[in-house]
Formats: sequence, C-alpha cells, structure tokens
Amino acid sequence: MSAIVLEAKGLVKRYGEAVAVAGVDMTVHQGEVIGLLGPNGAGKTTTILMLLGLTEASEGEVSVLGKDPLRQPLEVKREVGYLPDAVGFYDTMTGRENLVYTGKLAGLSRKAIDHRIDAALERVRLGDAGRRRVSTYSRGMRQRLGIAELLMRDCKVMILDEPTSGLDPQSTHELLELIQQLASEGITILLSSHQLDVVQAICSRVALFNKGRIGFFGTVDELAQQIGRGAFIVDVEAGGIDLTSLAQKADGVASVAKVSDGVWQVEATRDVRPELAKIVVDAGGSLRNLDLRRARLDEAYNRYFTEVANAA
Amino acid sequence: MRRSGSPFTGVGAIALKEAADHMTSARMHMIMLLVILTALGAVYGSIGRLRDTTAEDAYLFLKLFTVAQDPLPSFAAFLGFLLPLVSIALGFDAINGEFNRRTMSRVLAQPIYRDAMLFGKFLGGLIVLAVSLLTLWLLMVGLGMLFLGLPPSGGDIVRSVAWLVVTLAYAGVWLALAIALSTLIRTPATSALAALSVWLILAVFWGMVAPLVAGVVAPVDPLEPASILNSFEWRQAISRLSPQTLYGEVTGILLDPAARSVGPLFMHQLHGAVIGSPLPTGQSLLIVWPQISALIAAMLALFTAAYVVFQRQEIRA
Amino acid sequence: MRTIQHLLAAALGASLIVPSPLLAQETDARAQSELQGLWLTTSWPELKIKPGETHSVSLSLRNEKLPPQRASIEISGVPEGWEWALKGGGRDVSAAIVSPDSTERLTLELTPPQDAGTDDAHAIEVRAQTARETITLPLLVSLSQAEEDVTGLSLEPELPALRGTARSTFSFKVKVKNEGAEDGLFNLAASVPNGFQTRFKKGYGSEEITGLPIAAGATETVTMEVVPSRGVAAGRYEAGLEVSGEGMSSTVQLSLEVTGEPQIRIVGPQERLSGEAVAGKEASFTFTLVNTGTAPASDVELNATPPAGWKVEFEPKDIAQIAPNEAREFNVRMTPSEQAIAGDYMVGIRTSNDVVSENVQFRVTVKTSTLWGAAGLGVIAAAALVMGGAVMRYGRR
Repeated sequence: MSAIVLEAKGLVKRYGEAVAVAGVDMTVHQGEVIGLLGPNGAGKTTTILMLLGLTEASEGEVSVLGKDPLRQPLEVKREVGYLPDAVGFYDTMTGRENLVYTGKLAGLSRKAIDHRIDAALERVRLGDAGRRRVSTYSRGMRQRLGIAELLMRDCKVMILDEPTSGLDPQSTHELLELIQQLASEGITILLSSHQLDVVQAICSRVALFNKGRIGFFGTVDELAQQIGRGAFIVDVEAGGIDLTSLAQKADGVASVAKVSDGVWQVEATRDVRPELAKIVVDAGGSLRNLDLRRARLDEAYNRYFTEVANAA
Repeated sequence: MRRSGSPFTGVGAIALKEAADHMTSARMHMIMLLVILTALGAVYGSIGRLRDTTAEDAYLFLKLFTVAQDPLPSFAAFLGFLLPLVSIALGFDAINGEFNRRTMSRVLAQPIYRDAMLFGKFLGGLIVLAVSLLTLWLLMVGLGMLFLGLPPSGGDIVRSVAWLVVTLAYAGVWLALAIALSTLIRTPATSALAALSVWLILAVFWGMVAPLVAGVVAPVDPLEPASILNSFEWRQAISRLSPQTLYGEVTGILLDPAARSVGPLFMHQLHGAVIGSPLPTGQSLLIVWPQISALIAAMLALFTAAYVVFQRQEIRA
Repeated sequence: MRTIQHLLAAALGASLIVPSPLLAQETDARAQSELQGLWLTTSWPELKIKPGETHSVSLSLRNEKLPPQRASIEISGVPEGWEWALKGGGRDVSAAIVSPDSTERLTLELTPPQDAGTDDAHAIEVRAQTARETITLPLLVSLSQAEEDVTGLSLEPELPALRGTARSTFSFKVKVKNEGAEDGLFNLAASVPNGFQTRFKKGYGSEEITGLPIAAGATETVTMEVVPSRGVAAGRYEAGLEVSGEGMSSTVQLSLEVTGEPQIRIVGPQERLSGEAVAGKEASFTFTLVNTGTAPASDVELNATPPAGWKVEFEPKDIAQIAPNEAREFNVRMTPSEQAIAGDYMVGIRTSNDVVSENVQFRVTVKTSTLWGAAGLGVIAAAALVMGGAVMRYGRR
C-alpha cells in the first residue's frame, strides 16, 4: 500500500445551529483518484475547504501530507492545488500573466515561474493560447489553464471541483485522460462531480456524501455490494422460461429483475454466468444472450440515495 | 487556534498587481485625464492671478495651489472634490469584483491568508493614489517654474509635500470606504452607487446639512451673543464629520503659512499678535494635527470595518 | 600783522609838548591866561619796533584857538631801505587842515627791512609847515630783535570749574580783554581731552565762532561749550582756552567735573529678543539688565505690556541697585493666554527708575500645545490597536 497523503477524522463544521459537515472520516493514499459524490449541500465543498484550511473545522483532525491544514494552512496549500468550481481568471490579462500572478502568490521565484510555466501550458495544450487574453478563452481552455496552474506549482495533491461541468465531450475526454496521467505519475487527486460516468471512468474510489457525512467510501464495486446487491450484473435474454424465480436458486445471486419480456437483469456478488446458463438450459429455455457487466455507478448512486430516503 | 505563517504573505504581490491593473485600466485613465485637465485649468488660472497681483511672496509656490481664478476653483479645492471620485473608482469593486470574476477562491487557494487580499487591495490603491498625486505635484511645480520663472523655496517644498501626504490620507479615507462597501455589497454597480451617494452627501450637501442640524441642536437667539457662538461651534463640529471639511482645513493651514487658526478668532486673541508673520511648518502641522489624526484614524477605522466583514465572510465561490 | 611796541621813556613828560620857538615866547607871555597855537604831537616819541614788520605811529595835529591852519607834513631822517607812508583817514596824505579847537589824527607807517641792524637808534623828524611857522616833531626809533613777552590779553573765566554729567554741555563764559593799544582779531583754540567736543560762541549768541574781533582795551565775553565724550568715566577733566592774535596770546585753564550717570540696557535671553512659549503654559526667560552708564542705577522697576489675557511676572520684581558695567539677570515668567493662537506676539518689557528708562519689544512665538498632537496620536494609535485586534481576532483565514 502506498503512503497516506490525506487523513481526516471526525471533521465537523457548524455554522451556528446549522451543521454543514457532521463528521467526516477519510483516508486517501498517494496516486489515488477519489471521487467526491453527493447532492448539493451534502458537505462536499465544505469538506474540501476544510482540507485546504480555507475554513476552520469546528471539530476533528485533518492531516494532509503530514501537515495540519487547520494550523499550517500555508504549508498545506503550497502542496495542495485547488481548482474551484467554474474557476475564474483575470480576463484582461493573458493566460501566462494569470499564472505568473498565482505563481508569485505561491511564493515561487520569478525564475522558477518562467522555467515551469511553458511546460505546464504545453501539457494542457495551451502553449500558443497562453499569450492571449483570457477573455478569448473557451470554458475548456479555462479549465485546462486551471490545471496548468496546479502543474506549474508542482502540487502533490490536486482537488478539482466539478472540473468537467460545462465541457463538451471531446474536452471532457481530454481532461480525464490528463487526470489519469497525473494519477499515474503519483499525484493524488480528489474530484467532485455530478457526472457519475466521469467519476466511474477514472476514480479508484468514491466517497458518497449525505447530509454532512460520508455515507460510503470505497470502490464502486464495494458500493454496489454494500447496498445489498452484487457488483456483478448479468443481462440475460432467454425465451421459454421465467428466470425471475429460477435464477434465485443460483448461489451468489442477489436479485433478479425482469427488464422486459424475455430480458432479465441478474445482480450477483460474483460472476454467475455459468450457473445462469445451466439454469436456462436445464429449464428448457433458449439462451439468446448472456452478458456480464460491472455495476454502474449511477445505478448504485441512485439506489443508495433512494434507500437512504426510504430508510429515513 | 493559532495558525502559523504571516498573514501578510503575498500582500506585496497583490498590491503590485492591483496597482498595475489600475494603472492600465481605462477607468483610471479616464478619471486621471479629468483630474489633470481640471488641474491644468486651475493652475493656469492661479498663475494668471499671481502674475497680476503678487510681487514678493516667500511662499509664492504655495499660492499656486490655493489661489483661484473665477470661475474655476483652486487646485486644492479641485483635489478635495475630485480625489474621492478617484478613490471610489479604485475601490468600489475591489472585493465583490473578485467574487464576480470567480477569482477569489482560486487566489485564496494559493498559499496565502485571506488577510493579504484586503491589505493588498488597499495598499495597491494607495500606491496608485500616491503615484498620481506625486505626478500631479510635479506637474504643478513644473508649470509653476515654467510660468513664474523661479524655483520653489525650501519652505514651499516642505509644506507642499506635507500637504501631499495629508492628501494621500484623505484619498485613503475614501479608498477605505469604497473597499468597505465593496465587501459589504455583492454587486459592484450597487457598491459604486452607494459610495457615490456618500460622496455626494459629504462633499456636496454636507455644507447645507451642517447649518441645518446646528440650527436644530443649538438654535440662535439674536439677543444672546453666546448662542451665536455656540451654534457656530456646533456647525463646525458637524461639518467636521465630513472628511472634506477636515481636508479643507488642513489645506488652508498647511498651504498658507500666515494662517494661524481654523476656528473662530476673537479680538482678544489677536491683541499683540504679529499678523501675517509665517508660522514654522511644524506649528502649522500641529494646528491641524487633530484633523490629520482624524483623517488617518477614519481611514484605519473604515479599513478595519472592511477587514472584519471580509474575514467573516464565507469564501465558497 | 602789525605790532606796535611802545617804549615808555622815563622822560615822557618833558617831551610831551614841543612848542615852536616863536610861540614859546608868546606862550610865556600869556602862559597863565591862554594857550594858543598849532601842535604836532605823539603819545610815544621814542619807540622800539621789529624789523620786517609795518608799524603805525599815531600823530596828532592840534589847533588851539587859531583859524583853520593848513599844514604840509614832511618826513625826514627815515633810514635808507625803510619804507614809510603817511596816512590820514585811511589814505596816503601829505597835508592836513585843522579846524579851530580840533585835532586831526595821522598815522605814520614805518616798515624797516628784514635785515636792518638793530642797535642803532634812528632819529626821524616829522615837520608840519604852515604859512607862518614850521613845527618839528622828532621821533627816536630803535629796532629790537628780541620778542617781548608782553601780554596784551587777559582772560577771566566767570566760573572756572563746572560740574555735570557725561551728557551735559559745559558752558564756560570767559571775559577776554584786549589790553593792547590796537584793535585786533583774535583766534580761539581749545585743548580738551580726547573725544571731547568744543564750540565757541560770542556772549550769549548762538552762532558758532572761531575767532572774534576785540577793540583795543575792550572786553568781550566768549562762551566755550564743552561736550564730554559719552561714556567718559566720572572725574575731573582739564580744558584749556587759548586766545591769540595780534602777536598776543593768553590761555586759561578750566576744569570740568563729570559726574557719573546710569544708563541701562536690556539684553534678551541668548542676546535675542525672541522666544517661544506654549499657549496657557508658563515660560521663563532670563533677561539681563546691563548698566552701561557711569553711575549706579538704583530702584529699577520692571514692567511689561503683554497682550490681552497674558500673565507676565518678574523675578525679582525690581532691582535695588546696579553698578556701572554690571549685569544683573532677571527672570520673566510669561503665561500666554489659553486662547492664544499659534504664531508671533509682541510683549513690551520696560525697565525704569527716576533717571533712566529702557524699552524693548520681545517677540514671543506661541506654539500650539502638543497636547492635541499627543491626543491625535492617541486616536491614531487607538485606530491602529482596533485594527491590530481585528487582525488578531479574524486574521489568518
């Protein structure tokens, strides 16, 4: 297991009577890409702000790269880059000038800024556009410029708030590739998003925020399992039989749902395709399709929150 | 919880960036053009007057700032009127502008404390004001030398530089007010309007408000001479709530070495006095020191108010 | 200059009248009854004169009870090289007509040459010839080289010693008598100590003179005014008056007794007549009173004419005695009015006693109380403190 870069224990943030974050525990290892999920107001952004030391926690302890953002916010912020939701830049300045400014604020020497800025801009494919005013930039370019800022600052941890919102599919794809590359280089990334497919595509683990707590923290598979279903989903197309009851006999099957006539969706804790094939054949049905896929995050997410709502 | 690191990390970078931004902004260019044009007009008028009237004067250059030629007011009066506008232009969107551009949280995500933002904004504005005032001052002295044909005396320079510093404090009051309003009000247009309203009230209407209020608080009884004085003192006290009054008094004393008092004078105070003998610069400064203190304190107080409001705000955008 | 030297011979009376032989007989006959005839006489028939100088010998032609007589005058016996002239009524004459019972005056001017020998006596004969007779007057003129110290002037001061202060004018009235036989113009000269000034006036006149004419035997009054130099020490001083002219001179010694006089001067602090004070606050200045006069000043009072509302006190309130050339310090404590405005005020300082007084204007620069300055700093400090507190409380976010 690689080193722990971020650890939070019992983080609580209260605004007067209102509780924004009611106790968050989280441990993140180096090189992980963590998806922070949850409805608006669940406490994601507040938690991010506390991790950065931008707001003080009411209770709890945080350690980022071995430092306490509540006590040493400057040291933490020096290592941790934060790209806010719908990040803004100074429109009258060029992309480069914007980066030079934040580079200075980050305490970088002019030499270091000059040295790193071109590489960072190249990496996000803004090598040429860097000399243009930010007012001419598209939304995707601004997001990439934001990433370039974090690259220039050589951040070991990046916290990205809704990095893909408002981007066209092409831009989204490029951004995700970039994030995966960065993760492979050992950079730890936390990203919040409402685009669950995006999160599933790149995140090693997800944290589901619900009412100020992390309701779940783990892989998508684990999420699927935890909410009582399997992480393995088999789509079965068969004729002549009713699989709804038959499939229950197989070991490991968590649920069977009839999707349409002759189409069922079986959720299981393991790959149950051989058992299902045998059941269909044994029952005298005709097996037309047997497809295994992993649990989809959006399904798990929706179910999770439906259950949470039901439980309440 | 004690946090480590200086709250002022990054102040310099922010101040310089702000100053550079202002210097290159069309907004500043417009308003400085306005100020310079009016200054030229005022100087031209005063030079005409000085050539006509003054033969020998130890403080000829100071007259350049204070002598007016109808219908133009003097240079000092112009500055007292227009500087607030410059300050408001510099400060009205200092904080809410950052929020609106969504740059605030990105900047605050840098390894700096939030304090640096406000201090930097204020300092940046002051730098721009100082540079502008110095430029104007040099322009005045240059024009004076050109048209009057003689260099300013040492006394001229000392007094006018002291006056320049007070002018900066006066502009600083308005800058602090504009920045405070920009932290309180989220829409730049609204905060600009609010600042302009305050300016209109204090700079234009205060001269009418003060006698009205004084008349209510201390009515004048024609049969009672003391009540006239009492009312006058009330009026003066109320009018001094406006920084413009304070600045006007400072200007009157600092730029006129023979002036010895800002308040009402009685005959018995003048008995035995040598009228018209110039005061030492230090004495002139001491006379208006309360006014200067008030300006500086008002600047600090307004800034502190802005600071407290800003520090208590949630940065979420 | 002409000098006449008289030699009064012992036998003056015998040769006084020289009658003609003819007349003498008649005179004898009527000696007791009537004196009648024409005489040529002179007062001093034998005289000594100096070579190189012109001398006048007065001659009188007297007609007693005769009809008008015309007489031609002839001079004989004048030695070789001498110049002579006979004058009557200011002109050269050679004859005169004398009315009955009257006298005509004639002057014989004799000028012996510079190198004339001195020892010989020269007999010069003056003859008056009328139609009837010839009258002869012999003169015996000898030359004398030695200057005779004959004082023909006498000076008599009315009051030879005067007393006054160094600033007084000492007026000496001196009677000058010309005891010589001739009228003359006499020069006046004074010898006084250095720095003293003198001037001369005639009698009670007001014009200044340098010399004055005195008729023979007459007396004039000269006023010599002496002004001592200022600051001269008290004491007795001698002044001499010399009158000279017509070969005569005379001096008289006068004395002035200059009594001392106090004179006071006020010297400001550090020799400046300006100072600084703060409104409503007492300020003390050390003045110095200097007696530059020659006598002690006593009972000097100290007064001030301050601006309205000011308090001025002296310490000491007066100075009992201050000797000449002595300096005495006194403190002036001024409290400017509470309402005094910053800037310059004039305070008059006056010292006086019965004799002298001195006035100075002291320029006081009133400074604003630094109390307000401190209060202003306090306000600024309070604002800065509030700001510091805000930074402490809300800082580092």
